[in-house]
Amino acid sequence: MNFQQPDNPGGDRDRRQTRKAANTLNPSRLNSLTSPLDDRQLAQLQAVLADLSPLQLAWVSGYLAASSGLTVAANQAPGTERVQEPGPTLTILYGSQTGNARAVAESLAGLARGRGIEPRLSSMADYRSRDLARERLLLVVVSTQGEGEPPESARELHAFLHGKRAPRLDGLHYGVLGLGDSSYEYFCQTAKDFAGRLEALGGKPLLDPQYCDVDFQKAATAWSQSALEQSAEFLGQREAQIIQLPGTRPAPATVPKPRTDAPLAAVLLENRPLTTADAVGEARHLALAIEPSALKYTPGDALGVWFHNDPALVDRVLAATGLDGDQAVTLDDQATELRAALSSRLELTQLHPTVVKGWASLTGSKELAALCEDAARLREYAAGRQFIDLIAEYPGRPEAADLAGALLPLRPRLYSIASSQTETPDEVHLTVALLSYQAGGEERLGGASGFLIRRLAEDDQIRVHLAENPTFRLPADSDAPVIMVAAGTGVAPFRAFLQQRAAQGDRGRNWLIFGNRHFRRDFLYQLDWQAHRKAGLLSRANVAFSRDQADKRYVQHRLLEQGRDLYAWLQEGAYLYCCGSNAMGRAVHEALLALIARAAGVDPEGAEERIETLRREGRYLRDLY
Amino acid sequence: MNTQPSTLSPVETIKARSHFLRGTLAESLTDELTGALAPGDEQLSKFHGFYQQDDRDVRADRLARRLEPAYSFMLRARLPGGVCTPAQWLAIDRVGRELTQGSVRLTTRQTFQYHGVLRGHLRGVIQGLHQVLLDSIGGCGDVNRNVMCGPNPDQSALHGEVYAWARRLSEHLLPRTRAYHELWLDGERVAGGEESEPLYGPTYLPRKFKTAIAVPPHNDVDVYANDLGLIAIADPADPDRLLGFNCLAGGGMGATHGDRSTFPRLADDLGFVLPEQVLAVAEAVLTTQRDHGERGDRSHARLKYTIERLGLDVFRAEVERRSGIEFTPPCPVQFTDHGDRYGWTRGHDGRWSLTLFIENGRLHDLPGRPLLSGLRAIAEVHQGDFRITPNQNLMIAAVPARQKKRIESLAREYGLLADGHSPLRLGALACVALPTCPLAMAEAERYLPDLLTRLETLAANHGLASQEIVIRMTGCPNGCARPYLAEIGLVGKGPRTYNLLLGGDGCGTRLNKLYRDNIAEAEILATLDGLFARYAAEREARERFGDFVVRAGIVRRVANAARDFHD
Repeated sequence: MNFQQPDNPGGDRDRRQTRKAANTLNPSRLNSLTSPLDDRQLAQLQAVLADLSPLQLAWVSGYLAASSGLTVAANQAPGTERVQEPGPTLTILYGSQTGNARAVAESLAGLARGRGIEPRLSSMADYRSRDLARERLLLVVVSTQGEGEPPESARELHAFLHGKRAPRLDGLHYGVLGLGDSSYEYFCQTAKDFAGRLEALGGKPLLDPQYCDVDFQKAATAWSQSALEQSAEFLGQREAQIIQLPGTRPAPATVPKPRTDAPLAAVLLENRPLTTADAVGEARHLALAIEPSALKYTPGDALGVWFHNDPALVDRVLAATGLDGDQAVTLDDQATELRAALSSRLELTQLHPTVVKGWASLTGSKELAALCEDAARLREYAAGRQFIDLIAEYPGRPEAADLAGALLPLRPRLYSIASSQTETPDEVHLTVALLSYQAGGEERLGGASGFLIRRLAEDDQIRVHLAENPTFRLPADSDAPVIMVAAGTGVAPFRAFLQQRAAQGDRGRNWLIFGNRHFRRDFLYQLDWQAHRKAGLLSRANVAFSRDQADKRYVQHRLLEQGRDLYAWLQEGAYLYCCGSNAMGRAVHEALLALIARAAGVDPEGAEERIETLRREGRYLRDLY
Repeated sequence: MNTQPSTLSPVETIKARSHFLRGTLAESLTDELTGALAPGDEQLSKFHGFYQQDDRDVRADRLARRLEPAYSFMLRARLPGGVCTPAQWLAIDRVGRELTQGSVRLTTRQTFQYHGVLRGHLRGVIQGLHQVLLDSIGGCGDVNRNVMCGPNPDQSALHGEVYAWARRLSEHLLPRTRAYHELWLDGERVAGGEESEPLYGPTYLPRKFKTAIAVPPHNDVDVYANDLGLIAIADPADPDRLLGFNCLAGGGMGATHGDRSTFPRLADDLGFVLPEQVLAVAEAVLTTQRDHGERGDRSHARLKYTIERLGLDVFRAEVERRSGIEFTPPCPVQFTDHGDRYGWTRGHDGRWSLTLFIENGRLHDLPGRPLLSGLRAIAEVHQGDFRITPNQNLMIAAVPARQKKRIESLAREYGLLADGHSPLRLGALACVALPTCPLAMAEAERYLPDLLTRLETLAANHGLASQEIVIRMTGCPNGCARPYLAEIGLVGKGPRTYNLLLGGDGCGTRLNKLYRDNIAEAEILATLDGLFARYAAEREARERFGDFVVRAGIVRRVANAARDFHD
């Protein structure tokens, strides 16, 4: 898995960030709109609460919370059924883009069961925001997108907590675990948002939030242990209720390992260029042979690719550090040769700020140490360089073990799958953009994209794993219209979507809006789209090629131009999918707001509400990186 | 005498259903998944002046990348007699630089064309031309094409008069549909009332129709290669006064490899008419072909086959009946050449013309030779006009004596005065061919300059360095560079191979004949080496190479194309 902040399916795709102001929190006050109480009740309540100390408040909240279940049940309208609350339970909510947060949450749930606590585990996407008011014990595991935005599945809950309808959470005890990447300015911003709002709404932290960086395993495990200790203590006061919980499963002997630790074999069948030699970037179509019984994927899913660093790059690192590649180092308690470690176990191409810091202390460079003091400069420094650039600029002669210790583990990169398994049962197709940039006067290639495109030969075997993406799925309704908005290699899942819809004989209309730089040079899969249109599958297609004219035109401009029709499609039940960079996702979102406001004759807030409704209905789905 | 083909060619159906050349062109333009036109529309677009092409060099490579062919359009303007003003030239240049491949091609029919026009730029190109009152109506397609007219700078008054008739013919034979204006200019549909094409009818002509006027003694327009040829007859007493025209019909170059029922053909004499009768006669020739031409098999649809089928006398009688004009016997004419005369010439009116050699008609900015920029600089000071010659060259015409020096120094500065070319090169023609022409089977424009270098050496070896020999090359047998009239014709047969034809007479009045089939460069050079040796040794005084090969029996004279060309 790729543990960088955007939790990104693109892996090697351009991860430059643009700055954006942090969300400002809406101050939420207790009033008749945000609570079930009327003004008179509120006035009485506020009069009582005004005098209470925090400790007294906590007691009162607990008291009220304990009696609330009964009260609600007593007021329940006849004929409606309501499950009797068994008392406080542990709820674990995760907001995950590609599965990291989910894996951690699952592991947390497993650990809880091991302690005899049966948790309620749910993706934020499947969680009813209104239920939050009834929670007493909540652990949140959430990742953060590139510019400090929540992952798709967390968006609604995140917005709810920041909105006017957010309830008071005085009875809540909570813990927050964030997954992020400190090479981004808004590191773990979503987790911080959750922690901030839960507290502002009256929740009590069980323990300090933990904001994990890319190599999160240790910190996440430690936090999980202590979070569960605190939870057990909290629940312990009501032990009797816990023991009576039905369905307690036997505790797992060990924490389940993430699936990425069990990769599958795949063989390269085809590496086909999709762009012309004079295109601005190089994109390739890769076909991999897989064992269909071992790897079952659904359009929308991503594939994790385990790669090897360039042997030439490994040699250069060895030469620059004066180390012998044959000497042994210990990684995860296993002895391995340094060269092998640098080749397939350690990250060399994505330079992370923590590695720069580690190198600063290894070399004792004052200049580098000074750079590390300034977080913004450090991020900027790391973003445009690879490890080889760092050690060329700040030479050092570390011990092999120190070098291995300073580097982060190599993580597989995720690529959206561009095929439907119905169409190609024993193949997976990927659309890979070669990450290539200049540093130190030389060409630097992305780790995985360089491996896949430049170094892998046909019939070579590689290791892959499936990264499910349950929040990015075709509509279950085969008659539902589908609008697909993509830029660059973001079009990959839509190739899979159309193959799938064709194979299923779905009758719903399909509309593709695609953008790239040049019509002539990088119209990815142009012939595929033409064939789909000829077959009647693709009902409509609009394109935007930014550099084909003096003024740059992007997909969002096309969206606005097509606003009336697009809105009509949405009114007819269309599902809108958006795949591409975060920046593109934001621009498309803005365009949607504008076109909905115009077509529906509503103000920006009304447009926002309509988009939220679409999102809630699962009709506005995004896969951004 | 009417012939009804058993099956109409598919193009006939497309025309018939096109609603006067509209088809689905408007919809085609909005299809964002492709840079091409819908299948039927690519036929109709020709009538609007442009051909869909693709870069054949990269076709297979793009297919492998899941990209469609690199479609673009060749747009050919209508420019009767090849004449335009400096202001028009500046617009032609600007459109070429901004909206096409950055080049302007001068054609063998005295107009210009742009290559590599993207579909999205078609409107811009056409509107850019429209701003200076130029259009591309009938640039291609089954209608009367650009009307040629010998530039004749030395006979300025006569040229003026003949040129005016070329313009009138072009206007008179223009399609009347509003489709061109609707689609490319104002976008307005004409309100109410069915349109009609009084001259052409809803299916236009069976095939293209070419018209040219020659002004003797020069046959630079290759008047015998046209469906309708007119030879201007000047008053012997007053060479500046136009008496009338000898009318010719049924010339054409195109043939199909391996199909002996197709052949190039010289136009037949119909007779002499007065200037004011020429529009009616042209219309009658055109409508006779409209009604009697073959509409099933497009390779037999040109007027030359109609005349072969009807017989010349029947055809002439039908033209006379339709026009109400009786031909009188043609006046005797003598042609001396069908090439261009380079450098300065002085006209009867005292003004000067400078003919520039533009190799293969290709104008672009080369390193050290910025040809387009040079012509732009000239256009900014020039007060006369520009004339594109039938040999793809450019004439800066009607220059007052006091401006001669200025024009010449500009031409020199920009490398437009390429002195020192051999007579072989100066007299040579090549069509565009690969990579854009969809019909090309072999290279022409990209290859002929290199081949000429080798032929120059060959000629020099035999002491023929200063001998004019007309050499023309095309990438296919359709004959855009009129290869069948050359002394040495090279017609593309396959990649790198050509048919070698010999025996043109150097003034465009005799067809050549196949000498070697399907040979590559080595054999072309070896063959010509032997023939040049014989020619150098055995030629008579002032005898041209094409005349020599016929006299020596190396090829037989083609007197009647239908009978002699293939035998």
